[in-house]
Amino acid sequence: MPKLVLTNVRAFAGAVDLTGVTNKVEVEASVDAVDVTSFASAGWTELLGGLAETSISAAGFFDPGTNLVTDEDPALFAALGAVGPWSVAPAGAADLALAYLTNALEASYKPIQGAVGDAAKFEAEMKGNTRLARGAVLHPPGTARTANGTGSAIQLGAVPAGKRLFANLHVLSVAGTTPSLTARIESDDSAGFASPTTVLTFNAATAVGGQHASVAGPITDNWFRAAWAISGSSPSFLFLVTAGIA
Amino acid sequence: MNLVALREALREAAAAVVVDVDVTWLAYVPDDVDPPCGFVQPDTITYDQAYGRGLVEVRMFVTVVVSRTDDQAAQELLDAFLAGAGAGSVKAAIEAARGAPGELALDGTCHDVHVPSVEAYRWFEVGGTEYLGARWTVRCIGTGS
Repeated sequence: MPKLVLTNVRAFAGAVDLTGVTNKVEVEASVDAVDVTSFASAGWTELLGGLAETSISAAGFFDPGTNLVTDEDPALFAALGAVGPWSVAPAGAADLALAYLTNALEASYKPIQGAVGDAAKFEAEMKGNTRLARGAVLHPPGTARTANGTGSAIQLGAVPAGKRLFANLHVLSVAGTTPSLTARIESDDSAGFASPTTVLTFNAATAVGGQHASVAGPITDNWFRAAWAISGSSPSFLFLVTAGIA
Repeated sequence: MNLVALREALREAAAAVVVDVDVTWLAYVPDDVDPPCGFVQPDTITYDQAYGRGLVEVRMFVTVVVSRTDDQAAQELLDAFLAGAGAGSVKAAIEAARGAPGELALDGTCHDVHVPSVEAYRWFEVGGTEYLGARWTVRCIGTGS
């Protein structure tokens, strides 16, 4: 497989698309190495995997903006100390692109950094409130939806007992009169989705924002897709759905 | 950023300087000049400063040539342009077009503009003739195009 030069990392936090203002994103999952070495370890260290944790850091260019929910600085400043969904796609957010997702606490935000003459920069540090899932984009952010529909299918694999299916919904733009979007994740045992099963449903979204949801395995179906119901008068939504198993 | 629009906006901003003589301001490098004359040209473009071509840095040169000789009058005129502030300051004239934080700069052609330095006194060749002048570096940041 070819290596990747990072030019189009898509990072989403709640209702904010951070792509155009970020120039550095780090996603990390780590596990404590717990020492269980004993005299019976034959002279070698023995380790067990302990507690796991997730972290995300994002850095880039300060954007003062005006929209408290969708512009970088007001949104990240307001989110300090709050938990919200984060999705990061390393090579664009096209349909079924690779994505990492979690629900994270914004633990640190530095809104202004730089010396005289520098472009003002920001840094944000997030601590995961749950597992980091490796999955995919199930609905791309740039496709406006005005009516019910379903997304492309992807074979994420079955969800074994002890693992969960995680999903994030980032509603980036809403228009219309009394618009409402109810997104869900469906599963089936084949790509044709002849008999889909709803495995999780997000709360109805009537404004921009983000949601995180998960469901415990086992789920024997190994194909998944996003689906959505839209209501209202002349409704239109831009939203991103990511899902993965962890 | 649209380079054509950026050139014109930069020309217009620089043309706001006020000195004792009429100055010709051009958005492109001319074949020949009647000094004093200022003109705009790109220097470097650094793409991908943010993901998704969210930020590009374009370094422009604004060059002002004042005379074919280095007599005192020419030097005094150049000194007025070189000042960091004041009616004749090229730096001040360009940075006056920045806009407030959160607003676009240079007639909406870029996010922000900064004039960090100038090279002076130097001799610039235009159309085979050398002229005394100075060259300002102008940093413009904005979205990729």
